[in-house]
Amino acid sequence: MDPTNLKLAYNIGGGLLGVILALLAIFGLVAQQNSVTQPQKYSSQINYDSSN
Amino acid sequence: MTTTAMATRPRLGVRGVGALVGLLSGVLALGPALRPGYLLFYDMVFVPRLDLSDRTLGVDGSVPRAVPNDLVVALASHVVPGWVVQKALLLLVFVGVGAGVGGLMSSRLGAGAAALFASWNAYLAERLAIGHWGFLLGYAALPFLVAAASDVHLGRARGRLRLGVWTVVTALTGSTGAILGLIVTLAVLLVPTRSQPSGLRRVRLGREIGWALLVFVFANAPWWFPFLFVAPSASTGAGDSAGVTAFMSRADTSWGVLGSLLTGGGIWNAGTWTPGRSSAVVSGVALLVVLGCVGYAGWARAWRRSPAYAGLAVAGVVSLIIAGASAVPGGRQLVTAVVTDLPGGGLLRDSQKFVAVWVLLVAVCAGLLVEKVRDLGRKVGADRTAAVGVGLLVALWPLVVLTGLAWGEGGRWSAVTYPTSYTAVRDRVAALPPGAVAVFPWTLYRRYAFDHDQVVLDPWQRLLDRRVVVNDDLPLSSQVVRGESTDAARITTALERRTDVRAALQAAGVRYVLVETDQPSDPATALPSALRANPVAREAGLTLYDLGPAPRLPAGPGPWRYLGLVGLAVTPLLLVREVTATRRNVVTEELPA
Repeated sequence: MDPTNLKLAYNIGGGLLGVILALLAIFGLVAQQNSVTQPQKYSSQINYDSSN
Repeated sequence: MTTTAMATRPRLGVRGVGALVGLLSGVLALGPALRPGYLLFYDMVFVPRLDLSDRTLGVDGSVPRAVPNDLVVALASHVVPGWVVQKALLLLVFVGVGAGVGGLMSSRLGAGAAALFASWNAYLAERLAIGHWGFLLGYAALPFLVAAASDVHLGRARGRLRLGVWTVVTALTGSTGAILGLIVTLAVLLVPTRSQPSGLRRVRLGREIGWALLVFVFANAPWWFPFLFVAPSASTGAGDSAGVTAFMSRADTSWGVLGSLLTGGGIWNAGTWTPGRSSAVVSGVALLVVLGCVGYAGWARAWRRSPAYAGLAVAGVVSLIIAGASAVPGGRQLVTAVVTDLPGGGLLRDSQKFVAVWVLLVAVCAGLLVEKVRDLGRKVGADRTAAVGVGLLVALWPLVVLTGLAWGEGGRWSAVTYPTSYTAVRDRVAALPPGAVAVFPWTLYRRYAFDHDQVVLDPWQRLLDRRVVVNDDLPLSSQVVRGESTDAARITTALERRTDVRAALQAAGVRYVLVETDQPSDPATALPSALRANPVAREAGLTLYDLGPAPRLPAGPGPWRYLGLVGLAVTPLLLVREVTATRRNVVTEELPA
């Protein structure tokens, strides 16, 4: 491939990578919100593996 | 050093970049948790001032789980408040591991990338969430140990001294850090290098390993000595096999136990899993990048570059195997046999902790991959800024696949202060005649309103300056893992039978009973009303009862129980001797022939 095209491909690839990472971060934040569960607060015994 | 050399030297070296990235990660991860006050969740319990009790020193006959790291906290909390100590230690984890892995890289970009993964990953997030700060301090010390062992392997000046110093530092973080440290030290020292060892080199290597083991044995005596000789009942039967099953690695992603471990997760406690990792897409990308980083490093034969890389590769893979062993067919039986039958085998329980070394290996591989991306850009003619920019983008992947860690896990970790009633009861107990204190409800974990109802280990063992008896059984949602305390077991039996409760308490040296009235209580193990006759303190949520003087207990182990601490005290002498020997060698080498 022509060196100029290689350089262009590298720069475009870097830009695309940035977009993908940004979208993934947003997706991760949404997934994080969805995975938050309301922990059970009161029971006669508090277990070590209960959610906080 | 010439002026020109000083002028061209970068202001911030690889360690400095790693430390800075670690600090930024720490601030972003802890967020609101850095405010004044205490972080209290799961096993994360700090108090205003931790006393230098037999328990803190690891000589009270119980399993020395937080020894000698609690000793370090106790000493520090006599100088500054406990919450300052807590925040400083937590930030030190991030800064330390960042600086450590940064020092293993050859460029600042690589150091930053490696430091970001080392200080922002599922292992650190989950161990922080469960409160295992001692493990994390050990984890932060490991890369320094790798570098020091590599120096020794290469025969560099002062390598032995550095290895000795970092072995002691790792020992101060507790048994887990020490064992992980021993694995990486031996791996780096023993890993074969390109120049096959000659007979003379073999002798030297044998001497270096002997030195490392000698310092290890002395520096870690504060936990192994009481474990084997002061708490023998605990060491011979590290509990029941149910504990192995309960605490084995578990899948916290959609990619099974192995997929979870490869990305640094897989802790047994589902309550501490980082939000967002349950997404197959997010954890799948994390897994792909990890495999890509390790795959690239393998393809580039990075282990050939230094004993540090080669040793870390061996130690990382071994640690991954240990972490996953209990989750594969046949492995569980093997781990169970080791844990229940071998003295000290209990260290293999909760085996996911071993994945720490694998995480450091991935961090170094990530740094190498980012350096390659930058070099590729330069090779195709991209200007330096663009090449470094793309490298930086790739380096950000750990943040993207673990957004759940940010800002105190989305505000889950917040600093609180102990109520004034706690201080009042602590002061009241300090003024009372001798006698141990039993804490009720008769279970180990609490949810306090002042702590936003988070699950937390009962703090009274640390708040009071005298012996505190608690039920050390670990209640899990699926089962109860029996504790090691024979006193606690006898009291539990008496409570369940509703007979001779007073006798059982007094046989354990208990004179006072502290009832936390704001906690849920199981009627089957509640304190009998006959023992509530003489309250000596009543504060919001707390009532303290006096059962009357307990019969004098037979004296415990004699002064010999402190021998483990003597071992630690001896290590500075070993290091001083090494300093003298190093100086002598340097002088000899500098003398004209």
